[in-house]
Amino acid sequence: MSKYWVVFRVALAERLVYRADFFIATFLRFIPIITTILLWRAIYDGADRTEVGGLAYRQMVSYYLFVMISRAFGSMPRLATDISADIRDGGLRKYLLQPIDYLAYHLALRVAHKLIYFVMAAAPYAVVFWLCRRFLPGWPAGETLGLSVIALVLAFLLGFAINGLIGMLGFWFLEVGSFLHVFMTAQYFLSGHMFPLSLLPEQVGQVVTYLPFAYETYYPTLILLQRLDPGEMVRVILVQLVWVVVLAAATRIAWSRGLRRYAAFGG
Amino acid sequence: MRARYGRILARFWKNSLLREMTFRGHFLVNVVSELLWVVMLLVFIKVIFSTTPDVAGWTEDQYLFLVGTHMLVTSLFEAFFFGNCWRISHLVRTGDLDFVLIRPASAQFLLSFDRVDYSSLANVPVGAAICIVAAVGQGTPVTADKVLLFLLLVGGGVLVLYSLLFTFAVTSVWLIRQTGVDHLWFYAVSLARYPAEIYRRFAGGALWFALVFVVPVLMVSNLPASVVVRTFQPYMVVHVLVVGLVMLLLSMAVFRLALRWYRSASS
Amino acid sequence: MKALFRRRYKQVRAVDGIDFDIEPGEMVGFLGPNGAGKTTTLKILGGLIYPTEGTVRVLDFVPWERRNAYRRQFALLMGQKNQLWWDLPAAESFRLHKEIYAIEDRQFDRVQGELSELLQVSDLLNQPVRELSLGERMKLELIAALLHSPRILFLDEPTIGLDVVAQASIRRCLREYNQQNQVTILLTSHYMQDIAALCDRVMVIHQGRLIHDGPLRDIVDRFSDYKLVTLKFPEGSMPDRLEALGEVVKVDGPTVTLRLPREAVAERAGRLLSRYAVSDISVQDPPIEEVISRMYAEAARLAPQDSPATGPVAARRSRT
Repeated sequence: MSKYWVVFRVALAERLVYRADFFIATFLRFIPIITTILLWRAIYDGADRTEVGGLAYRQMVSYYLFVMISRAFGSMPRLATDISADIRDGGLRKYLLQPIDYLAYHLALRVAHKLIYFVMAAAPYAVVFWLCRRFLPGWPAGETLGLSVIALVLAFLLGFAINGLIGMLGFWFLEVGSFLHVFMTAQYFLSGHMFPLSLLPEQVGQVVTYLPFAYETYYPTLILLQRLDPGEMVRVILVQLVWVVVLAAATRIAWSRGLRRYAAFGG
Repeated sequence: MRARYGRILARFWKNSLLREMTFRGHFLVNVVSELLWVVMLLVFIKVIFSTTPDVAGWTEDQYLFLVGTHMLVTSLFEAFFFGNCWRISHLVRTGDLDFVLIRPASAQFLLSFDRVDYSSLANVPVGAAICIVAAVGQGTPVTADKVLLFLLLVGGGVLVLYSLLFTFAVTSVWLIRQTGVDHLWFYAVSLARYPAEIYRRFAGGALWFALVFVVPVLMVSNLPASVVVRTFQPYMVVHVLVVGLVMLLLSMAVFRLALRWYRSASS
Repeated sequence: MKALFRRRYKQVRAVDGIDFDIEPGEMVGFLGPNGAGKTTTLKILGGLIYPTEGTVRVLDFVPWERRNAYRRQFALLMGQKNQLWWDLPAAESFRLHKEIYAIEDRQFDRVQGELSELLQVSDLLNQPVRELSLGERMKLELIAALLHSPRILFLDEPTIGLDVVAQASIRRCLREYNQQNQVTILLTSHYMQDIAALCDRVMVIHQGRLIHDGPLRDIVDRFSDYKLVTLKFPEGSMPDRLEALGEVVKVDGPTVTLRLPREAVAERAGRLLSRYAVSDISVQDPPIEEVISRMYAEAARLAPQDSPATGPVAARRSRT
């Protein structure tokens, strides 16, 4: 257990080096949000109704702000590429020689990165949210807050499982980056990052909800938005859990299969 | 015997093509993911315009034309200049910039045109197709002079983007940042894709002003599009070309400065 | 010439008081420990760095003005650094070079052909560079550097990391090329063999100062006071007390290596031969590496301690 703590501490030190730059970068990250919100302002202005996709303008703005939070938990930048690079370049070998579980190692790294990110991004996020306070719903009830946290943690695990699984493709394919590119594009749409999935026509929307992506971003965001009643929130969490278990299992299986292949080819 | 820039350019393009052919899968994947993106975008537009007849005064056809124009401008930039701007910070770091500086030709030229990304080039006809469909949909007469003017302004837009990103890339001689060329590009693309009018409402138009006159990204897509599908005004042409030329000169000045600094302190 | 380089808060004199003239066609080696200033000197000559003070003229140009006319006349080659496009055959990179340096077709074909033959890489020209070994790549890099028939060639550690065969091949090529075309070659290297094989003249740089300028032979004469004499005795007739002969360096079966004072070598060797039955004898200079280390030690001992600038040192470097 303590070796993961060391990993954590090393990652912390690395991140702190980029402090000032980091602040700027975090603020810049809100640019696409601002432009999207301005776009929606224009849309609502011209619209013949006050609700679009079941959301009033105020809620639409909050939606995108909360998407930032869901994404902060669920995004796994470079996880798949790092894993596939390790496989391709043989860097995997050094991990196999150490008494450390490769996937657990990466999980520990990600936890560290996320925690540090939250600590450092807290200030910029707080500033932005405070500036936009008139769009936000009131502070949630304790129950909702608790369920929100659970949903976000599960979004993190779900994101990790999905990206880890894609990384595993490195055992079978040389260019995982290309596939990842297509995948990220599709995910942007299917996770509700681009716009609320409620805007999609009935049938399309239905299909999308059978995919795990909606549970990375869209549903946790709705929970934060306080648009779901407790029953629905619990359902979301259960589905997240199911997806996490399924994808984690798939990743494990891919790992052992892939490892056999890897050893067979001498790395 | 002066350096034959035309031939050097031809060589760069041929070498890039040869290189691209050794990574054929990569080309295909990029095209696929770009098409996927276009589909998602079109769905989003359909969704938007089912709720409102216009967005900040742009009708659906006009908005679509803007989307096509944006694709044209950004694809051209990505094809010819993005990779090269990105490479600059890499060259500075490894010291390989030295090898560019010893050539008997303009270093800025050699750096800016080194590679071509053909998969981005493949998006150009897609953007053009969208423009044509939108123009026809609106019933705009597509006259020769409009087309020429349009192409001129598209070129101007690319020039503005090139100057902006090249200048930014070159500052990596002085600074090591987390926000790389790819980040700046991402934000520039996000900002430029929408009707300029939507920015007027934010911070009393300060953002609009900044994005038109300080970091002039707003007009790279808006103005070429306006020239065709909205009312044409002569200032549009002047604006793009003047700003483009001024920024180009600025990029050259900054580059010279950067080289002086690089060469006085490098090891 | 003094060059001051500011690194954060510490001023380091990378090159200090270096002054030389080089004639066309010379092959000059720059020798010195790491960080001595060899690469810096080369970069200044290539116009890649501005010195803080001093004058430099190469082919009547000031290097750091980076005139195209000047850049067309020299080439720079750095060991373990790649100038060729990685994923493409060298032939394609050569063609690019051709356009950048505006080389005429006939000259290009001729030079490319000749050098490929000389370095035996003709059949590798159309293979992607990344598939080739370091030695093969270096040869192709050398060809790329020579395609535009430069008048001066700057080489920074050109044979580093190469296997013995490749090293020899490149040295041979440089020697021949220098003899045929009167190219001035400036070379920095860690390898004694490079310097010994190629350079008529050696400049030794230590902590940014020039401590020797002349033939390699002179260094040995100046800084070594002994020679190594190796004797081979026939079976069973090895003398008992070898130390009486001289300082014993090594005993290897029937072979003994002695260290004898330089001035006394002829006399002592003669005595040995007359007194003992010797089946083989050879007299060698001490290993150059040792001589050089001694030279550095001397120089360090004599070097002034971090003194402030004592005034500009006029320097002239010209090649006609």
